[in-house]
Amino acid sequence: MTSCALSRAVVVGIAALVMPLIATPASAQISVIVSASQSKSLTEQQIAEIFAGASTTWPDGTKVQIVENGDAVLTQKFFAKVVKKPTALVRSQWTKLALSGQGAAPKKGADAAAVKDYVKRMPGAIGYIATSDLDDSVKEIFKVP
Amino acid sequence: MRACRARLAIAMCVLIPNLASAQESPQIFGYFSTRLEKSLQVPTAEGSNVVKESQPKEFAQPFFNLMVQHQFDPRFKAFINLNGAGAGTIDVRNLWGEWTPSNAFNVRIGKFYRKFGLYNEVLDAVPTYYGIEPPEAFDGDHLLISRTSTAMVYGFVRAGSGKLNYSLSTDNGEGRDIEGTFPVGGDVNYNFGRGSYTIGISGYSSGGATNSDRAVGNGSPKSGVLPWMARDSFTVVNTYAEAKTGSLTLQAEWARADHKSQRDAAAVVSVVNGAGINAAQRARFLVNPAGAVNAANVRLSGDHVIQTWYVRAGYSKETSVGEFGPYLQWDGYKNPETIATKKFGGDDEAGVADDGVFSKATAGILFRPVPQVAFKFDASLHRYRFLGRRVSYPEIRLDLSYAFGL
Repeated sequence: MTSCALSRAVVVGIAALVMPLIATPASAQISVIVSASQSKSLTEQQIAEIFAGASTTWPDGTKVQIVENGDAVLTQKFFAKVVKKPTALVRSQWTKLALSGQGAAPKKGADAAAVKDYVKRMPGAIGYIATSDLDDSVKEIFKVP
Repeated sequence: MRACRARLAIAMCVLIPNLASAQESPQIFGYFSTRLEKSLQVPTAEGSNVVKESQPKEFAQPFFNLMVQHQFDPRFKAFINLNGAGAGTIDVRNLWGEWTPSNAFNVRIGKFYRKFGLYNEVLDAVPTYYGIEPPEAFDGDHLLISRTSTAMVYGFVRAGSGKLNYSLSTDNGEGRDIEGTFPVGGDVNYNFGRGSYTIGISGYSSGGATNSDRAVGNGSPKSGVLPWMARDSFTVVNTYAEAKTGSLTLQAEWARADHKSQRDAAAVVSVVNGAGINAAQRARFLVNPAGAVNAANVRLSGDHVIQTWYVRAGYSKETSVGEFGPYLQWDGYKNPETIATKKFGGDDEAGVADDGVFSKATAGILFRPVPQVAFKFDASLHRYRFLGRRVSYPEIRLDLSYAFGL
């Protein structure tokens, strides 16, 4: 095997290992979730406003508590598709709301289980997870196409 | 004593069930910040000549803002914002409670930043916005109005594809003399495009004659009234717009304050004698600028108009080492009534200019290696008229902040 062919084999091998890790979350559908006991529903525009920091309440006036998913790839895709802004700008807006008393500081869920657990317990909480992680403990109110 | 104990017991009875039923423990967060500023080649007068000299750098002692927010119930919330400036004092910037019966009607009581334009509510959120200097309307040396208010109703209704937000507030007024005044502040804005675009108008009326919160000699006022005014009835109108499209943020704001004022003769004499005012200011304050400086020679009518504006742009670029945010800002301010000496209640920007007018162009960059840390570096060019000539000087600033608990 020549050195060129060896290099090609190494690149292909690394790509074969890494691609599934990147491709799986990036291609996953995303569900916006609330507590299963909640009767609340939101339009796509209202969801975008909440995650963009332009709205801090539910339609009935109660305060929203955002739970951020620790999955960076999923989060980036969610913000790009729903809020249509870079992750850094969205986080900065959340921080601005918290530091000015206008909104609650977002909670951080390390993974889908943590996000579901928080949403399940907290009335007013809203989060997002990969649709494949959905179960009966939470309610999906919107699926990101 | 017995009555005091009884009140305490009642308070505990009310408070303990509320704490017990609280959904979560209070959120505690905030940030540390420190800043370095240096002005270079600042024009100064040497007789009738202009000479330039650099001012010593100002290194702000690290300070912090500690915030506590507690949602007692889905409809009741409290917020505290403590500022530790100068590493020696703790200032209660905000302390308020809020009741939220519906989106259209909320009530906030306490000490809070009024809803006014794009920045007043968020100025303490230094790590989150482009730039280091606040817009001139809320520069601590020449505020258009006081930043805080005490009672407000606010809310929003859905209109078309967006939200129509409103707020109406009142407080104890700007100055020490509040008899007969009923100050009112308000803001209406329309937010649309999934929260990306905002246009709005804010206003304030002193609701009668008031005066300054500071006497001459006690520094710059924390209100919109200059210290040498015996009485001042004023209104402020402010219009603003913001667009956040993708990675780009654009902002523009314009404000005008109309003051119907009467100067205090003794205070003006003190200013003319001690504050080192320029010829234009002397001509404003005295009936005969070349005459004796006494109460009889003071021009009592102090009506004046203040105007300020800015345009700002920032861009967010995420990279593998963090977020970079280059920004450009252009601010303008005009106040013919002010003077240069801060100790006497003036400001050393507009007050230095012959006509009270200056502009400031700024270019800078924000770098966030991680979301909690923000480095900002920028440079400004101040331009104004001084001793009849157009002059300018550069200023550089560096700001470092670290947010915690977020």
